[in-house]
Amino acid sequence: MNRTARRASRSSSEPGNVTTPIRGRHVELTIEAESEEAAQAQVQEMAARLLSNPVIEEFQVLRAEQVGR
Amino acid sequence: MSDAGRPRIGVVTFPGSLDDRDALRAVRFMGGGGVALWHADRDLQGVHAVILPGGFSYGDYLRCGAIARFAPIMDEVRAFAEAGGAVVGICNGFQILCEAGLLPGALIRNRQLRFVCRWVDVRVETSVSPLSAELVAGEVLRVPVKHGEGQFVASAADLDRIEREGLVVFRYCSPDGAIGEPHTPNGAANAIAGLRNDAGNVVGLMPHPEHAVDPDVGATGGQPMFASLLSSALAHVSA
Repeated sequence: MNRTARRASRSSSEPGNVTTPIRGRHVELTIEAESEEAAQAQVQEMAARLLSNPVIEEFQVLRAEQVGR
Repeated sequence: MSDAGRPRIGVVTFPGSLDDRDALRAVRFMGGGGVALWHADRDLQGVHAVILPGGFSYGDYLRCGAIARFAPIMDEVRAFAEAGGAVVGICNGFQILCEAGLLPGALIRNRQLRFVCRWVDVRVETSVSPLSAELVAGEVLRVPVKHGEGQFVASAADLDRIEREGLVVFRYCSPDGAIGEPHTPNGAANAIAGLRNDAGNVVGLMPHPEHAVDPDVGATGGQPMFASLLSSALAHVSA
């Protein structure tokens, strides 16, 4: 979240003890693969090459059950 | 008029490109031969320089330029750049070059969170680039910007290297060349409006020189940039 947005949100409704909000994106993928390892490797590759830009973003790959789906 | 003897400048059209026609027109206005290139092709048609124009390639889904970097023609553009050919990215083209790793850093949403569309002044920082070869450091040019995601950012280490190695080609400035936040339309780090690669043959910038060549429609700060591009391309012709 950039500084302008942070200032604006603080001045309105945000409690003063929140200092480092981070905005993210959530991408769900359904993969058919020979094994879970193969699926994980494919998603890691996609996340690193296409879905995220390492200059400005970090990513984490989670299985559906890890996020309660 | 025949293109014989004139540098041929290719302009790539991606789905969602907006400024490809203006870029072609600017090339021709300045005396070059404009060649329309298509994103799905794997052929640069023997051009002497390449422009990636402004717009919203592939709708700018995911991130600006993130999908365009995988277009078939980008393999050819990369090879052309690695062989020393002049490559220019304007606005969305700049974003594509950063996404492709041909230039360092990234372009994120403007600091004020609003689309900006206005004339700006940029100060030339180096003559080592295809867009500034005929310019002198310190010159100020008036050109328009129109973007929502033009805030240049880079890691502290990259930013340090960019400055140390003189990779900044243009900085936003006042009409008399002063640098400062009020003159920077998007919050770009170090007021960076454009930068080049290490070899000096790839350059990206957020302002639009292709909209500033014809005096009938305003300032002509784009003219010396295109003149530089044509002379850089001519060097490629005779090489």
